[in-house]
Amino acid sequence: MREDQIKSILTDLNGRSASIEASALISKDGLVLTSALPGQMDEDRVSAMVAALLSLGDRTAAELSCGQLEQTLVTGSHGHILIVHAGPQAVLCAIANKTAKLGLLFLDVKYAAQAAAALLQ
Amino acid sequence: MQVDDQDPNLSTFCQVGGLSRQDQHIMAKVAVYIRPLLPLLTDRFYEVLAEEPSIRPYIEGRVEHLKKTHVVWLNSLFAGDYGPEFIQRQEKIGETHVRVRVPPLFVAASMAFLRGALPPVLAANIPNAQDAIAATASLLRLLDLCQYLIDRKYAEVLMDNLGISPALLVRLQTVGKGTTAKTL
Repeated sequence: MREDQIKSILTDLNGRSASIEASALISKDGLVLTSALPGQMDEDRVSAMVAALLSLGDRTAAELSCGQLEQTLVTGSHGHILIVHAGPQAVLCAIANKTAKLGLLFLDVKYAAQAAAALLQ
Repeated sequence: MQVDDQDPNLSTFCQVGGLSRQDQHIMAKVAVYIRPLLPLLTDRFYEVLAEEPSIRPYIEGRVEHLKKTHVVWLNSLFAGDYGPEFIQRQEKIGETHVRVRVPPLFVAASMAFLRGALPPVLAANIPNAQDAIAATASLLRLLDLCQYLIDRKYAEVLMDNLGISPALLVRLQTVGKGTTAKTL
């Protein structure tokens, strides 16, 4: 039931913009909680790397006195990976193509993360 | 060995490596023959280190202090007590190496030196040949144990500094190396 609700949050997120191609909710230890990733992506690999990225982001923000980490954005030549906390135990990752409007992407992912965090409490 | 039941990895190490109470017994038994020779071995060890340009900067100006620490550590191998305190001492070394930025290479190289240098010392100075053979086997197992404990703690502390939990580290180590199809 709860998994279905979280899954629907990710499905809604992916449907909000054509630029959002995939998303996943991942535990801080890198385990997939639920995902809406294209079949060709290895969700185990993606989830471990995403959790590691957010952990590094946390430490980097603290080390450089930037306060609490809000998000980690990785931009490649073909698109973006946005990673945000979804409560204390989970991480929301969204993958968007290069056409994404970053402001909208940040907002959509933030709201989805808040909704997922509420369900995980 | 007094292995912590809460540490399954260490239990596996001891089981596969054959570490047992026999090792404690034989090392304590031969200690009297070997301990007086350990300071000389440490001197030789630091002569070798001093000749290595990549290591010299790490020891310059504090060789005498490091030698004292090394002799104490060598003596602990012959104490016959490899319980929680012994384990914690090795882990402390791993923690210290992260703090002072001594890379794992130095531990591996140091252990390799000892694996080569110590067996002849045991063979030449333990009167009973069977004891010398048994003590050499125990010593090599203990050196492996120390290296495992030092390196394990080194990795734990390093990952903790990066915010990577032990569970996440295991995930990162075990996920396949295949390419994720999408290229970003």
